Amino acid sequence: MTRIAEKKQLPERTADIPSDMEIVQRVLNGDPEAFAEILGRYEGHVFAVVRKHLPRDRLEEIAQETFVRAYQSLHNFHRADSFKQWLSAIAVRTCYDYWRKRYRRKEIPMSRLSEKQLEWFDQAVSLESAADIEALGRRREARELLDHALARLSAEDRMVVKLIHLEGLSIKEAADLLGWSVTNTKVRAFRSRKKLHKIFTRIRRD
Amino acid sequence: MAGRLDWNILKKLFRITYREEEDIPISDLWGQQTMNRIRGLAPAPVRQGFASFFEPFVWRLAPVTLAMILILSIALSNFDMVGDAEVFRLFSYELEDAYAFLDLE
Repeated sequence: MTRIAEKKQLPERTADIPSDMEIVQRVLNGDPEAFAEILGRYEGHVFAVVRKHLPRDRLEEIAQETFVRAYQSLHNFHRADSFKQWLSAIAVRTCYDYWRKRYRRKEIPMSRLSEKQLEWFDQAVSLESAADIEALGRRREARELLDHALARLSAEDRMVVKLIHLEGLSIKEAADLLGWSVTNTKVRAFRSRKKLHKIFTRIRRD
Repeated sequence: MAGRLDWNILKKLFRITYREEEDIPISDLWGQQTMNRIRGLAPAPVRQGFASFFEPFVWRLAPVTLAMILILSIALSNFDMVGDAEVFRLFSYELEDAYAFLDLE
């Protein structure tokens, strides 16, 4: 087993190490083995992206799917782009496709919250500062509450909530990753925030 | 009845969870399996020119184009082209007269 944290990113280019573009060119010239270099360079990064969006048991499958899609779309990679950014967009869109399929097949479990979770939530939202929230601990409850709320959103809203509201990306950055227009992403961000707020208000009232 | 929820508190609450770094193990076989899948795929498609972008559309639209050519050929053979040209010439003269009349005013 290898830990993601142990994987260090190599610099974009040094004297002996070929650049991403050179490797891409080798693959496009009919050498699929050169893709192993890309895999080694970016597997840590791809896992870091997908783990923010997916359950643990799906990480390897979706990370692999990301690299397969990248291989099949290598001819669309342009020299001027950053390979890391291009690969991140593929990873995010693969995660989005995963959620779309799951929502379409209605595979999202709609769990009920326990008394303990509700109690924790009530306590957490009445706190004033971020330091108080940190001190509150019990992140497991926060994670379960978040999963509970996200299960009630659409795949599109889920992605927007995670990228913009939780990860803190700008509208433009999220739009680039998802391949949507800035206006569409902005509207989605606004609506998803309202929906999420409504879900938590309902939880608190119950 | 609980009071109104503060969005900023909610955001802070879940951002803490979201940013929590977890040490997730990757199986050693994962890289090999991925490369095996890559090897099993067709060679990576090469960059295509601008003209080849339209290639699939050309074949898809070929039957429609053929049908249009046939219909237009039949329609043209049934039109009285000379007669239409004469009518057009008549109206174009009248149009010149109309402009001349407007210039007078």
